[in-house]
Amino acid sequence: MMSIEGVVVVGAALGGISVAEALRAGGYADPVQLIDADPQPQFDRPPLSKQVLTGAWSPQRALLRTSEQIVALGVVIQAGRRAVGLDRSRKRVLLEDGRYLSYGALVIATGARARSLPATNGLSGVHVLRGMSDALVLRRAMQAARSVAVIGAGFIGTEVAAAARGYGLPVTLIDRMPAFLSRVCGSQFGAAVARMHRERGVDIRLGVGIERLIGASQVEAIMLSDRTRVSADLVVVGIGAEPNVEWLAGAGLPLSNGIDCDACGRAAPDIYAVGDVANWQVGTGASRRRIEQWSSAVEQARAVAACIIDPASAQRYVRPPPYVWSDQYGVKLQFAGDFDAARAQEFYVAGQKPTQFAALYFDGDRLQALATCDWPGLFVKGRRLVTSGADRQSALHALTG
Amino acid sequence: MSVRIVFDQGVCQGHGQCEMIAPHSFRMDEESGLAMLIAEIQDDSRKDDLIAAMRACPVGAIKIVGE
Repeated sequence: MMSIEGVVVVGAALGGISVAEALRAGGYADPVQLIDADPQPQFDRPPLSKQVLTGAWSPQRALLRTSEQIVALGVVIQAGRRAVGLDRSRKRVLLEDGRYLSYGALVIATGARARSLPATNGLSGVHVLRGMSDALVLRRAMQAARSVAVIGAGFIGTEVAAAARGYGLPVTLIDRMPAFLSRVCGSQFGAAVARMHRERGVDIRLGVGIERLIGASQVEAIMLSDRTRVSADLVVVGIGAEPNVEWLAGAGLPLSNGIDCDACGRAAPDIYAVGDVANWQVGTGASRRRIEQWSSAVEQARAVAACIIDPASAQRYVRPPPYVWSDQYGVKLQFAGDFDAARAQEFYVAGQKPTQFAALYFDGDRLQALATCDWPGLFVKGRRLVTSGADRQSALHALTG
Repeated sequence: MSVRIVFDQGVCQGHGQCEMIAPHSFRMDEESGLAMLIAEIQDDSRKDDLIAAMRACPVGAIKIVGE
């Protein structure tokens, strides 16, 4: 049984608040306390690089939860309180102000921070995009910029490039990998996304690194590893995120890449991790991954809450295949399943219009994942086949006729 | 005991998490790619999945009402 301290959740963004909601939905009646280092309210992240950056949404519309929703949930969120240590033997979290917070069960949802470029030389005009304040600063910067360079052709990079084109700015998109979105799709689908950007005027440089940034105090250009020079007075860096685990140093938790945990988020007895900070067990083996996706955080939160309430019941429900999406140039990109670049055989499908294309990913004879652009009908059918583990012949027959 | 589902298709963006989690109540339309509510009232035993589907909707198109 849970002790009187109840559940303490460190981090009140999507993963943290979702655990609190899943606990209450599951009938958990003991205290649930959330703390977050950020004194500001939490915002939903997907709109930051989309509707907030383009100016289509006000910041308020991207608020993760209203204060009324939090009150109705019957949980307490203490914003602006930073956890700086963990005393596992006495089951308490040390806070920056020297106080302790005792827990019956601890959920670590401290997320990740944007990775920064090593050699920016302190130049201004270099941005990352992670939180609402980043999005608002970047939006203002775009309104004043003359030309933009985006480093990294992942989700953040491609969405920022699309938004910058929407502001009418010249955009150069740079990645050291030879392909777009290489973590979630194969080279043919990635090339089609790249083509979509090129057709909308983005100057694409793939397979090149960053040599250095050039400028006196304000960035003026980037020198690439192939010795070409890209002019830009606004540089956006989208090269991934690093888990916020420094505060756990010395706590004795397994921290190989974020917090190593099992398939219900357990890192140690009564200690769980969720969201971007969690190095989550994938499948039944020893394989783990930090899955930095919106839908995954919500799913993981459900698993963690179920495990806290009743460890025996935690895995009773069926988990859908991983899902992630992106909005660029008014079309939707959708990805489902476990894409494994090392094993996936790619089957590319062109649609009726230039922006419409898809790719199926097979591991041997099984459909493991799919990616679609501007093709919601195919995505709907394809995801069902991923879920049912369709074989190659039936998947191709159903999806390509 | 039953629960009632309120679904706003005007808000739906076709993410389809609802069909994955609560297929007894939601079905994705293969033409539009948008969700359709196929059973507005559900038995209380479905409540867990329905709440999970509501939470899993990235655009908040689903509400669950009643006890």
